[in-house]
Amino acid sequence: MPIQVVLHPAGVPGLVEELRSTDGIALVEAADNDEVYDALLSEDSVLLTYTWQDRFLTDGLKWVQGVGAGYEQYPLDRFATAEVVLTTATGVHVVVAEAAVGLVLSLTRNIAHSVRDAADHVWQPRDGVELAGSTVGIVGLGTIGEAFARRMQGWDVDLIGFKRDPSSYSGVVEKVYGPDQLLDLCRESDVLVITLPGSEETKHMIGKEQLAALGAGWLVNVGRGSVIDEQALASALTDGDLLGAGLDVFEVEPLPATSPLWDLENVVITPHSAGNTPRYGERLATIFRNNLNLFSGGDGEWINRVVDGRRLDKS
Amino acid sequence: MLRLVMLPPQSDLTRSWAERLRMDVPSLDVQVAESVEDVAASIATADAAYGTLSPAHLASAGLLRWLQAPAAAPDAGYFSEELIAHPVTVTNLRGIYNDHVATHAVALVLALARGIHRTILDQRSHVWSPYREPDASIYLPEATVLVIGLGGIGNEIARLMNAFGCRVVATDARVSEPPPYVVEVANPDELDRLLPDADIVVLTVPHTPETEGLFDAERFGMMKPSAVLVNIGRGMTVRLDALVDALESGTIAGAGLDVFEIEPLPEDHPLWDAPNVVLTPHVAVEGPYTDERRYGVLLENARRFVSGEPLINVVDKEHWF
Repeated sequence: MPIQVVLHPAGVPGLVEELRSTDGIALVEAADNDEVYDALLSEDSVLLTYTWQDRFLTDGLKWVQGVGAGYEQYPLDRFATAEVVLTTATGVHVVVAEAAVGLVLSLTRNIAHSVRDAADHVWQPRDGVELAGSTVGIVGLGTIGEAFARRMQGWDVDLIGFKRDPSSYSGVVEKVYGPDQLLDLCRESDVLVITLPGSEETKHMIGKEQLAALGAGWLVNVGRGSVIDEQALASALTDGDLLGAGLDVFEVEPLPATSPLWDLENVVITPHSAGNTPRYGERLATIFRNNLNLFSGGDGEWINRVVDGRRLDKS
Repeated sequence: MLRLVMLPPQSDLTRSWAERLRMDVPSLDVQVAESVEDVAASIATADAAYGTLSPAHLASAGLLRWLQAPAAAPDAGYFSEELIAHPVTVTNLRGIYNDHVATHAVALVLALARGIHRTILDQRSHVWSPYREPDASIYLPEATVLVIGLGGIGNEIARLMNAFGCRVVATDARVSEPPPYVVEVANPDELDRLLPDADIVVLTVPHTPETEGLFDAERFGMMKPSAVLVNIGRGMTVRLDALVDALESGTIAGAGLDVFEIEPLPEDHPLWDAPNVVLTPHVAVEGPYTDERRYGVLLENARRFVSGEPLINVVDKEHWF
């Protein structure tokens, strides 16, 4: 009997076409949250989703395949109790590392100023700054943090990082700090790049004190908006020493039109688009089909399965 | 005593270099020519010079054996027929901005690949638009980057783009063995074979008789409609009218330019408003320490000149670089 697969409407481009051509599933293309809920009530199901509502945790829900990299929106404890499998789309998002480098370079090479000047037909050369010899601090050394570090290596920078458990790290970053050394990391960094997921633990981890420690540096956030205290960030950019910020994620998304961040000349905003990639659906479907095989009793390894609040393949 | 003339125009910086050169190379007589009259009076006895020399002054520069050009790639007019015919060895300032220029080129590539240039404009009007269409970004791990000119800057760009998982190919007249981060380096006359497969084309070449107008309507026609062109070399290699047409007609997908046929780019030029462009005002070389590095080349060659050693950064005058 085919497995019922419910696709939440807030999906990703190209995914539905991939699912329609996947064998062994009965696809429900839900039009809204109510249709998702109704489908999950009727029989045992797999849910592909980005957003979560507590009523989705029906008796029939057996497996959630997230279509994003994060999993902070899901009730992990209740999933564990109900034995609901959770997997994510991590790895599809290595492009986030590219976007992070892009934001660092946009800030240090004045790309934003030039783009704005060009819109006004203004030729206004400005000095760039040099990355070589500077220290780049990476907060969060998961897949994306490590991919970012590997790309930054080419610029002859000192790479330092922050990880919950530094002893578990193996990668290209030269010095890894633990939770009680975050301020040291900020002090030593010229460029601070956040790749952490959102959680209670990471909420406002970068606040007034950390930004003051960073001082006259640059900040890039491609993790989750909740990691940074946005009010403190706006103050550091306007009244403090912070030279600039490249932000892909925000405490509230879409970023409210009234946010002071929009109009700051030293801020480059991308609308949570760092993970966008052509053929996203295709790449995600590869993960899904692998996991579908296991869900159906096949052999192999789950990709990106989250257990006890951690992805199995990552510390 | 060998004599070097600092040619006008002078600035506080070039005067300070003259001062330093006298200290650093005591066996060199360093003269500062403030005006054309000063040049006329001193050039006949000069063994070496720094700056730009007119054909008229060259005619009387009978002793001149070394001319240090004041740029990495001096403007086309620098290499007059008289200069090419004169026995003087010309050196340039290439190599000292490789890191800044390569970094800037990658900044332009990443802005285009990740759509950062678009969202910067959206930011102005507080618009949140993630551009999820498949053609709104370039997936670098599957992209082919064609680097035209694998000199110091081209090499740096190739190395940096390879770190993003890109497949890097190149053309260069002087390089036959590809470095480890380049899968193929071909002769420039094979450009048209490589062009149709490239997702990102990066021009690093100087303005030479061979590269003038290299990218015209015909070459844009050979590129993928999804491809982007980045130029951090010299503006004269890209025909801007043809580029504007190619962008507006969708012949190519985008362009990132730091150099232009006409600089500054005129306020009424249609390129400013062409779709999917990132334009920066000839700032790729900008960065700290560049003046110090310029003096470093002048000093190194002055030391070599007085001791009779081969000079660095020697230019093939007929090819302008």
